[in-house]
Amino acid sequence: MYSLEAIMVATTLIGFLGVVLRRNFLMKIISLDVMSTGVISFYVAIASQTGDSPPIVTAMAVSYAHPVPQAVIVTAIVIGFATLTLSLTYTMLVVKKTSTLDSRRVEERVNW
Amino acid sequence: MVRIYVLFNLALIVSSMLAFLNKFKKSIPLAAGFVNLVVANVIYWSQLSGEAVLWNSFGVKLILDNISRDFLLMNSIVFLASTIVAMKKEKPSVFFFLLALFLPSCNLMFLSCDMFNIYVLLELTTLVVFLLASFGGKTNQVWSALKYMVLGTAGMNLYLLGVGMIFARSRTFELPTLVDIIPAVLVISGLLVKAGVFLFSMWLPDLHSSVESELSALLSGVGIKTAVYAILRFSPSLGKTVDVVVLFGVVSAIAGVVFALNERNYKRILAYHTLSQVGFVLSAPAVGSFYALAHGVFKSWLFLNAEELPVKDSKKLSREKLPFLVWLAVVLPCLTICGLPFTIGATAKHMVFSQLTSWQKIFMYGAAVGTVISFSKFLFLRPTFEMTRPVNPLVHILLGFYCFFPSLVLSVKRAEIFKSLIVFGVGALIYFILKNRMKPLPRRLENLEDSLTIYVLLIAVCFLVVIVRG
Repeated sequence: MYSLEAIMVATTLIGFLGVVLRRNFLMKIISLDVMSTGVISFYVAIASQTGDSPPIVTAMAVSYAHPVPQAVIVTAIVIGFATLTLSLTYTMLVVKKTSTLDSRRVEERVNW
Repeated sequence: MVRIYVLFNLALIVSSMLAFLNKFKKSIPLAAGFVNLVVANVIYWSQLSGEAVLWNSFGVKLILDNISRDFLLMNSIVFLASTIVAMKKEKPSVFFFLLALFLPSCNLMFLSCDMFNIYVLLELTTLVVFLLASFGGKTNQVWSALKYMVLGTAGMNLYLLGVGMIFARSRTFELPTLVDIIPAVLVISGLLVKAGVFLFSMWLPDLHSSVESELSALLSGVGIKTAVYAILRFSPSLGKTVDVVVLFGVVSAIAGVVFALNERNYKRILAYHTLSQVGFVLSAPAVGSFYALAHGVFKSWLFLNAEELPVKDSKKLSREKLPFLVWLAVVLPCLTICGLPFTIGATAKHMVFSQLTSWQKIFMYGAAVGTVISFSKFLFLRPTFEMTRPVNPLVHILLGFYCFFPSLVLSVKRAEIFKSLIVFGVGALIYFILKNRMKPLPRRLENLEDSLTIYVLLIAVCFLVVIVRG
């Protein structure tokens, strides 16, 4: 019954594992995006628990999707986009200075 | 009441755009800071309160109560003080725009009282903080800001997942009355990363010590308090899960002090103390908001003093002599953070200690003594009697006033004075014994890789604690 939600939670956790396990900093940022995609889809799945038709009154519809989760998650999409672009831009700056993407090596070269 | 205040903050946001005009770039944040200080003081002293609920809106709510008032006052004081220092520096207008945007977004954060508003405003302040911190463009600043971003975003995604689970059950974004184990742990572990708790947020010492002092003051004074505010708001509805917060609060208070004791760089010492002081706030969530106000005032003063000191290394500093007024400005906030009677620090500490259970009290007295030991490095500096003016006299007057304001209102009990003096005495004694045996501890925990691995373990620990207690 909750299979869609379970898949989305699993996606989020896989993204989180990616952030933790990948040493490549670019991959960490991409994993963050996978994570936020998982969360956003989770909200869409929650919205469809009450029904499948769009929340507009029509004669045909039997049950309606919940409008609120979809409405609020738009904000999270925008925030995720801002985070992604900003961190990619600043990663460029770090790579230019340290000429590596491996986060352990960046750490060594920044703090020497 | 809340509606008028929200409109005032929207006006501040609009006016921050004016900072793009080169002519107004410095006067806009300064004017906003002054007006906001007056407004926050009116709200604080006349105890204004109120709430605004969006009509038929599934729990979206703004609230102005005693927790909000403490945080709003703190925001106004710290922002004005940091802005006055920032005025002296030549920066492009984007910097001043971001600075002016920081104030209303934090003000609105300290009003919000539902799960989704908290998320949006936390992320907004994170983005502003990230941009401000990486503005200098030095590699270590950018890298520490990136660490903050990666850890913070991962945490906030977990938070959002938890909020989604709560929403799926209750169909509202109102702060819940009782939460299940899994969403509660997700929400709390997400917020703790941003709140500056030891082990959870090890990005903090790097970030707060690498940026310029006026930004450190702003980040340490207000930036992390946004997440602390969220935790304080959540804590009544968490039931037994709140034990996790208290437990990590106590751990943070002690571990932060241990690291600070052994450190020598002035700003790194302060950054470790931020970890420890957040521990004090979280160990007593019921009265934590006043401690947060106190911490904002003295920690921003300490950070802004970095501008006045000739050298930043505590060993070299102990050989220097400071002009009397500068010496006074350096020593007063150190005494306040240690809990000198009649200051805001002492009042806040006694409020926290009155809420603790006996096992916590033992550890927290240890942390308080540790704070005294650590700040003894600066308490025993020697003054000379020249009358050189400090660089930013206005800042010292403003922050000095708020350091002593509780003694104008509240009466101090004799037992409290006695306790504070014992803590001072013991701390100073231990300092003279340990003086030459302290070396900086390794910074292994602050690596991005290690702190992420630790984060996964900590989430597991949270689950364990909740299951055992529940």
